Amino acid sequence: MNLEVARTGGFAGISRTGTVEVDDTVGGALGEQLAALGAHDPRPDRFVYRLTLGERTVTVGEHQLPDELRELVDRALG
Amino acid sequence: MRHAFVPDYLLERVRAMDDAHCARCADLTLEHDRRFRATRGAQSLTATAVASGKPWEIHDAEHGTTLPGRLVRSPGDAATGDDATDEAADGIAAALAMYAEVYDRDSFDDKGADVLGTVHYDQNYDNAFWNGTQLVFGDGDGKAFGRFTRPVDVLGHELTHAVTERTAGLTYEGQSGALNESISDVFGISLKQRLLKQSAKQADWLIGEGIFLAGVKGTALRSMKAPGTAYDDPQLGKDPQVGDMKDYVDTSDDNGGVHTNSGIPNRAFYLAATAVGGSAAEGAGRIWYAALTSGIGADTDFAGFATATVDAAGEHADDVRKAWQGVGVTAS
Repeated sequence: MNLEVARTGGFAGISRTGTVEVDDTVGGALGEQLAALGAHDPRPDRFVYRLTLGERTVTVGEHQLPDELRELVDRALG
Repeated sequence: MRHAFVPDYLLERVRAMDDAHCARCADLTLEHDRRFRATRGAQSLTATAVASGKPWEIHDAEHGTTLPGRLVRSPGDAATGDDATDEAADGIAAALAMYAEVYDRDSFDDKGADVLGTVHYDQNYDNAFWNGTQLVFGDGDGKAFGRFTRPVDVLGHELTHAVTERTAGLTYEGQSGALNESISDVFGISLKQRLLKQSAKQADWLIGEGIFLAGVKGTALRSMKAPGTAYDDPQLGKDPQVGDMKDYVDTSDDNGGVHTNSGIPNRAFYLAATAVGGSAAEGAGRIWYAALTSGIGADTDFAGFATATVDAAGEHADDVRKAWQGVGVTAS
């Protein structure tokens, strides 16, 4: 399955999108991780990420991303 | 024009690593302490403790994400020779000096708080931010973006997020969020023009000039004079900023397009600053600062802020009202 990433905002305000493929095991854990992310908490100049995995889409600030999710997101944006 | 920018003035001092530079830093520290004591009184224990501290510190994250990182430069230290460190030090010192000298504001909290800045944050990091405690700067990806410390207006922009947080506290979403962004650009550009000794009419009004590396089709990240014209690049896309209320972008991206719709109040400031005349910092900048600190609410929208600036404009009220009309916003 694919994790689709759209990054908006940041000081430059330049948007980027990308996709990273994950296997079903990672995807399952990822789904739980996405579900556990809190509500989006806007902060000045932080990147805003819209993450879509299957039917689930969540929006969070970069400061709300756990490290391992951040690595995955960075890979998606290449 | 691309590099005819603050760096000439700032970098020259930095690279020289000369005694005059250290003396200037020391002067700033001394002046900061003197102002602090004059306003707070030397008897207060708190005042004594804070006044003996340093008004800014630069730390190095060494390409990690742990903050604040290793302390690398404080006032009185010689330039380190590391561009990001020295640009951050000089830019933050200059921003603090502008707030003190033009707006009579003692650091971002108006109580002389130390300003912490961290450079070399993360890897290939195309961003800079204020996290509620400190300023953070990336080095850029080395392909499209260079150092975020290079344009001095980025430093002024980020420190101003701290000022806004401690004053109007504008909610970072929708119109109040775009205003929050615009106010950071307003005092960022005022700092740039002040260092370049330019009048509002002479200036180029570009935010983030010099941050793009060779090959990118663009001169800067934003134009306050002509929003939407700063870059148009095959890889990065086109500058999406708008400069008139009729083009306001409704979106869920970027907290409601705060970096896009900020072009509207940005252009209002450009129009006001050129109409009021003189320097942006000391002309329209004083009006914008008075409005920001006038007790406006966190949810203030463009029209509400327009009204606050007209109310604060005194003899320039007509100029300011016309500036907002010029971007399709009516002050009540």
